[in-house]
Amino acid sequence: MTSNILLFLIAMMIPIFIPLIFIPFWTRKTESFGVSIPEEAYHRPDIKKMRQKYAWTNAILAIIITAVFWFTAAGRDENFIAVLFSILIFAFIVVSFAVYLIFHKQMKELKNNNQNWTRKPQLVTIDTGFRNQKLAHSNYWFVIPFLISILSIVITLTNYQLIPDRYPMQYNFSGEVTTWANKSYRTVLLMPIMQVYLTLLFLFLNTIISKAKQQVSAANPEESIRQNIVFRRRWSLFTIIMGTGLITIFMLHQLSLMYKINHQLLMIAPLVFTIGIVVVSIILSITTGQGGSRIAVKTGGENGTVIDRDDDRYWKLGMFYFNKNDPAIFLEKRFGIGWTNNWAHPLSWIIVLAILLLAFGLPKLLG
Amino acid sequence: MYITLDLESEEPIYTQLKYQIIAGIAKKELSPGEALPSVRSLAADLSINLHTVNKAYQQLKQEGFILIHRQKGVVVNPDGVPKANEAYWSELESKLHPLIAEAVCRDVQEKDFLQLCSRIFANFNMKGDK
Repeated sequence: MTSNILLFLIAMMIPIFIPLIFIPFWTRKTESFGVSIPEEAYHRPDIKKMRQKYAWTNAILAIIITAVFWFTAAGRDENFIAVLFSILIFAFIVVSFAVYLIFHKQMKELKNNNQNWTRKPQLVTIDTGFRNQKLAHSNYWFVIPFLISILSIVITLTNYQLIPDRYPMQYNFSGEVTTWANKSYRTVLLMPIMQVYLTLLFLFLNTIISKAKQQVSAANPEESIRQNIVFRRRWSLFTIIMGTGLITIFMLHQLSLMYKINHQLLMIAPLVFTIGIVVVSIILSITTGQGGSRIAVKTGGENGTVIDRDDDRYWKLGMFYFNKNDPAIFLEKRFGIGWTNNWAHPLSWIIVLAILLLAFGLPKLLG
Repeated sequence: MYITLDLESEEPIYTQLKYQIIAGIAKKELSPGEALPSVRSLAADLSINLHTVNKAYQQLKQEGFILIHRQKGVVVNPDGVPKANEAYWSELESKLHPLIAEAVCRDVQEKDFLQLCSRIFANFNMKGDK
């Protein structure tokens, strides 16, 4: 039984390992380890070697972490394993960030030694019609998870008498109850209110996807716009499906308070869902790439006459965007897949704080 | 239409932006009534200050190239750009004056200068027929 739990936890590490190993291959070809480079430099043998070295370093690190986990956790009790797991994951992220910083520094030096990279005219291009196109799927899709959440509330309130006075809130790995909740209108509404919160959160994410800064390659505007639109639409669809699925699973759990629902279904549904989400997001990352850079489109753009503007100085450590003059709040990540904030914009901090406060505050308030 | 700015250039960003929009209208890449991005979204996409975009838009509005509606946002003047009048001609003359003065100093022949003008005109007209 314990080795099953260990295997399960190791499987949980994979979605953390894989992106950290493969990120350099998924970024735009105009970025390398958080440093902007001309697209043709991406294929240089030395930069190619750096990517491979980075991937191998992280892969070996992942193997070490897994081995340490396997040998120290064997035979220990669940609390110990849980703490060990969190510490090791944290350690992996910290060490992997240190590895990134080393490569980032190397890349910066390489750029300094290649002054001709920045000698071409640096331009910023946008398409005035960009925002008239459909960049993300409609936010109206969130009517479905919203209705599911409302339905959960209605069913809970009308069947209140069916809920036992004490009901399980949390299980451990062996399926035993670790936390019980005393029935009250406040506690039984926790789950449906979290459903509403998550629906709004996913709606917000979908809005970011359509509103995030337009990034058009000055050398190949047409191609990069087409790639970018596909990129946004795919992740938008992913967000909608993932959000709706998650909220449906929450509903299933809420219903289990009132009705007899097959125990195995309750255990397996979230597991299958999680695995599905992880697999799909990795496939999406590989096939789409950051900003759509891995999507093949049919236009032979000219290369090498101009390059995109060098905004390295606004990217602290190549990772955190900090530009006071930029009114944009959301923009594409440099080293990774997805979007990040302009940390110089006060709204960024307010939004992040509000999301975190609600995520931790709601369960505290209602639980 | 694509707008391309050189943020390192000595020419101020708002004039670059303004002339690109005017050129877009001249080349008919922007048609009358066509929507332009809002000040906020254009500034965010270009990573430049809101005031810079605002300045360009305000001047374009004053000169009749665009309209700024409260609800509909920014659109290319649907009635077309106001035709040249006396005021415009005298302004054009005063703008050309220093350019021609410099050309004369540099021994540029009148016919070469006019040829250059024709070429630029042709460039705009050709794009328009497409």
